[in-house]
Amino acid sequence: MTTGPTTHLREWDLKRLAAGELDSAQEAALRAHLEGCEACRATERTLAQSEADARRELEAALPFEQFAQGVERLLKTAPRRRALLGGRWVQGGWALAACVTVAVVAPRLVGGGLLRHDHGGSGRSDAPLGERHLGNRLKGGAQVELRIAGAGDGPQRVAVERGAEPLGPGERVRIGYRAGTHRYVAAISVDAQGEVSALYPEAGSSLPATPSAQLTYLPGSLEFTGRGSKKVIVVLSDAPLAVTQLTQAAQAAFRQAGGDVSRLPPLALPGEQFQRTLLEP
Amino acid sequence: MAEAAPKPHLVVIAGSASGSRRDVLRELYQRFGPTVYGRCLYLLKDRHRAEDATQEVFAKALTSWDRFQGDASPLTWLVTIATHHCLNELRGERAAWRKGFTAQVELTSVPKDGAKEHEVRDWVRKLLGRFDLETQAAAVHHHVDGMTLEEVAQALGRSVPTIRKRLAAFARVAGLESFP
Repeated sequence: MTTGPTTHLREWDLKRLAAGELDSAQEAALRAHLEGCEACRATERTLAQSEADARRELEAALPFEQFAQGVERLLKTAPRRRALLGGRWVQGGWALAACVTVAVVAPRLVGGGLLRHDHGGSGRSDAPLGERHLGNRLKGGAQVELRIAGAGDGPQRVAVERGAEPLGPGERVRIGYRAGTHRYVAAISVDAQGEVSALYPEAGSSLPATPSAQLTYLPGSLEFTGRGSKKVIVVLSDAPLAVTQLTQAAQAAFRQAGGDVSRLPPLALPGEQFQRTLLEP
Repeated sequence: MAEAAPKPHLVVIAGSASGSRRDVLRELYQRFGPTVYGRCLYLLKDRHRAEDATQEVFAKALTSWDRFQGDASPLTWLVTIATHHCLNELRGERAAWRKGFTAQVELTSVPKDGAKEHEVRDWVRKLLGRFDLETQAAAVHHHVDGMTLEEVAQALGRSVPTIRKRLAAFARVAGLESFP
């Protein structure tokens, strides 16, 4: 159990204890310490009081039903990911899974991300922008593809490499990658106002890339319902990149481009980058 | 604590997509809503904005649900998303925010040894606008949440030396001695 220099428990440990996140051995150790330490019990009481105050305030201002409705509304705005809707990718279109099974607290989506990639269809040349802009050598065939599909069973297409790919209302985007020799993948978007959104992941650092000769699609799908251009940037790297690092690099690139997202230079980050421009409906 | 990976309690819910999502959301709201709201209120200093931000945070959490690792701490995960969200929101008003904070900082004194926790937290918040996003997040997680360097590094996906460097830079400006 981690303790501070005065051997008292850290607040973070007490918060995790209250949240029920500790295993039995850790919990027993904390409780044993608490039994013999009035100072830590006082801290625990203070934390519990703060939690109760926040709960009372939150539940008064945002009762669960109102809160849930607000969250649902937000999930319908761009960019959004449909992971929990059980979005399935099927050849020739998208379909929502009728049922999903999710695990609360430590969830795993079941059924999301099933992919059948039409290798012979509308795929276009996908030479990485990073190779041109950054002078990176193409490493082991790294590749990125943004595949677009409508809400129905219409044809799928791949976002153009040059220029902007117009998106229709309700169209969704999946990001596919082949990592080549790289080990990590991350994706962000930058809109016309320079707002950076972390797409994969939304916090933490780059996701471990799946080594495969085929394209691997990141889970869920994205729907952009804003206005104007949006740049999607996928970064394949040999070491994990922090979301904050990606965000700051994108913000710096936007400033360097004079606020014109269509002229966004490559981000000052290691690895290979792939940019696609989407024109939101 | 850092060496032992906690195993969060698992509850499996089966059912329709929308029904399951509502159940997941309810569980998250009940277990972590106050903590997330508290973090948003601390950073945004406005109840209405904190309420909106709390909803935004949970919407983001739901959309990245499938990537959440089962052996990770859901509390850390949600607090990290909340912190990142609020700091990003504040970034949009950075100029005015920084100016205001600078004025406030100049009028107040550095907390002395033995200062109450809330004084230190208030001081940390006032200084955030002077730093880049990553340093802000590191400072909040370390000084407000009480995470260790290792926990901050893990939450932000950075190395411990990098976090130490960020916090040292923060400490120099903050004038607080109990920094790493």
